[in-house]
Amino acid sequence: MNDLLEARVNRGTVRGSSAVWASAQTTLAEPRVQRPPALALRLVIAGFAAVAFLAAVTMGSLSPSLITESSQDRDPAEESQLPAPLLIEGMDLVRYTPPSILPDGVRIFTGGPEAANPDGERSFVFFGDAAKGPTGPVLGIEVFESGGFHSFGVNMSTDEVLAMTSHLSNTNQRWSISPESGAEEIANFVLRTDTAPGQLDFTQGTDTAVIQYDVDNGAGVWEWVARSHLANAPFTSEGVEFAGIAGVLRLAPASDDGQDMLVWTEGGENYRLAAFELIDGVSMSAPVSRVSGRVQRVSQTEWDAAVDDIGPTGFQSAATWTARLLVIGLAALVFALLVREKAWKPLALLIFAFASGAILLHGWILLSYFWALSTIVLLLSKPRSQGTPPRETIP
Amino acid sequence: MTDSDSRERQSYQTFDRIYPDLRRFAAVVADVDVDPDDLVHDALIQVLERVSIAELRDPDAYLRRVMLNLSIDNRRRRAVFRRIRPKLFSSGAHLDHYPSDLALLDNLDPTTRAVVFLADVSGLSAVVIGEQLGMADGTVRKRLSRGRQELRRLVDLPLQISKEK
Repeated sequence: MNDLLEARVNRGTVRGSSAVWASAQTTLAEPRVQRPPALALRLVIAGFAAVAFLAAVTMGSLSPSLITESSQDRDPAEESQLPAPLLIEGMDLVRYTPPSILPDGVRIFTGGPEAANPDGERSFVFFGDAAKGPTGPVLGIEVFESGGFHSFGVNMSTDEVLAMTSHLSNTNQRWSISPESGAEEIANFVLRTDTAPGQLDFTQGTDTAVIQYDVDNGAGVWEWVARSHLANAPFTSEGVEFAGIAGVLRLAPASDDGQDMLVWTEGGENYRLAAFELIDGVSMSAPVSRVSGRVQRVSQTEWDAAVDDIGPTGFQSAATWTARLLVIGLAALVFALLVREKAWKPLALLIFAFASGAILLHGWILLSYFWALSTIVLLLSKPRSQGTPPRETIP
Repeated sequence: MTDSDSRERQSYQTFDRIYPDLRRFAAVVADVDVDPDDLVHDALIQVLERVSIAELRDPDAYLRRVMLNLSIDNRRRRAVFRRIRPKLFSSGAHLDHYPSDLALLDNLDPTTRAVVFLADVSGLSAVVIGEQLGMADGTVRKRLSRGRQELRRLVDLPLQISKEK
C-alpha cells in the first residue's frame, strides 16, 4: 500500500521549483478577472437580506391587534399619552396642491377626485406610499369640495394643519365642519396615522369615528372597517364621503331606524351601494346590506363577498405586483450568486423558493420572517469549498 | 535592492526549500490526470495573490491546505461537468487503456488521500495532520482508518478477481 503511495508521489515529470515559480510570476503579471471573495459575497447578501427584512417589517407593521382594536377599547389615559408630532419620521415629503403633482413615491389610492367625489360633495382622498402598499401609513389627506379642492395634511405639523384647515367653512353645509372642528378632525387623523399606521381616528367632541383600514395582503384587497358612535354627529343624510382604495366609502348618518351606517360603494360617478354596516352607537354590529333602501342584515360571508367584489384598483394591483416581482428578481439574483458554489446550491434554492412563495402567497410579513431566518442561516453556514484558507488558521 | 525585491527573493528561497515536499503532496492529492506541478503552480498563484510566502508562519502547511482545497474544488467542478456533458466522459476516447495502480488512489477523496499520505508516508501524527489540514484529531483518525481500509480493499481487488478467474 505504501509502495502505491510512493509510486504516486513520484509520478509525472518534475519541472522544478524555478520553472513553477517563474510560471506563477508570469501568470500573476497578466490581468485577471477575480471572483468576489466569499466574505464579501456573504456581506452583500446579508446586507440585502437586512434591508429587505427592514422594508418588509416596515410594510407589514400593521398588526392584527391594531386592526381589531377600536377606540372604545382604549384607555382614555393611554389615549392622552399618544405622541403629538404629526410628522412622519423618515419620510421626506413635500406639500402638494393638485393631486397630479405628487411627491415621488406618493400615489393616490383612489381613482382621483372624480372617484372620490361622485356627487360633487365634500370628500376625502387618502394618499399613501404605493411602494409600501396598503399596510403603510396614510401620508396625506385631501379634501374635495364642490367647485374645487383643497389639499393638506401631507406630512405636516400640527400648526400647519391647523393653518391650512382654518379656511374650511360650511360652504355647502353638507357636513358641518367649523374651522375649529375641521382642524381637529384633520389633526387627529394625521396624528393617528402617524402613531398607529393603518388606523385613522376622527374625533368630534365626545363622538369618535375611527376608521381602520387593513388589507388582506395576499389578495391585496382593501377593507375598511368603521367603528363609530355618531349619534350626535351633525351629519346630513347625504353624509360625507371617504375615498377608499377600491371605491368610495360613504359614511351615511341615519338609516330608517335612526342608526348610523357605514356604507361601501363602488367608485365612480355611478356608484352603488355594495354593502354597509350598521352601527348602533356603541359598537359595530353585524354587517348589513341595503336592498331597495331598506336595511337588512347579512351574513359575514355576504359582507366579505361584497368587499371582495370591490377589489383593488388597477393601479394598486399593478404597483403591488411590480414590487413583488422586483423582490422575486432580487431573490433570483441571490440565487444566481449562491449557485456559483455548489455547496450553497440547496440553500440558494431554498431562499429562492421561499422568497417567491412568501411573496406570492402570503405577502410581506411572512417574507420578513423568512429573510431574518435565511440571513441567520447564511451567516452561520460554511461553504465546503474554502479556496485559500485564512492565514490565521495555519499553525 | 528594494524591500519588495528582497521579500520576493526570500519568498522564492522559501518556496524552493519546500517545493519537493509540496510536489509530493500534490502528486497524491491531485487526481491522476492532473499534473502535480500544475497543482503546485495554481496554489502558488492563489497564495501570491494575497500574501508573500515569506510572511507566512508555516508556508508548507499553508500551501498544502490550498492545494487540497483546489483539488476538492477541481473534483467537484469535474463532477458537475460530467453531469452536464456526460457524452464527453462516456466516449471512452480519453480513457487510459492501460490503467496503472496509481489511479486506484483516485477512488479516495483528496482529503483522505492527503491524510493517508501524511500519516503513512510522511509519518506525521494525527495531531499534526489535523493542525496542518485544519481538522480535528478524531476526524483525522477516522479518515485514516477508513482510508487505509478502502485502500487495502482496492489493492486486494485485482488479486481477488484474478483468483476467481
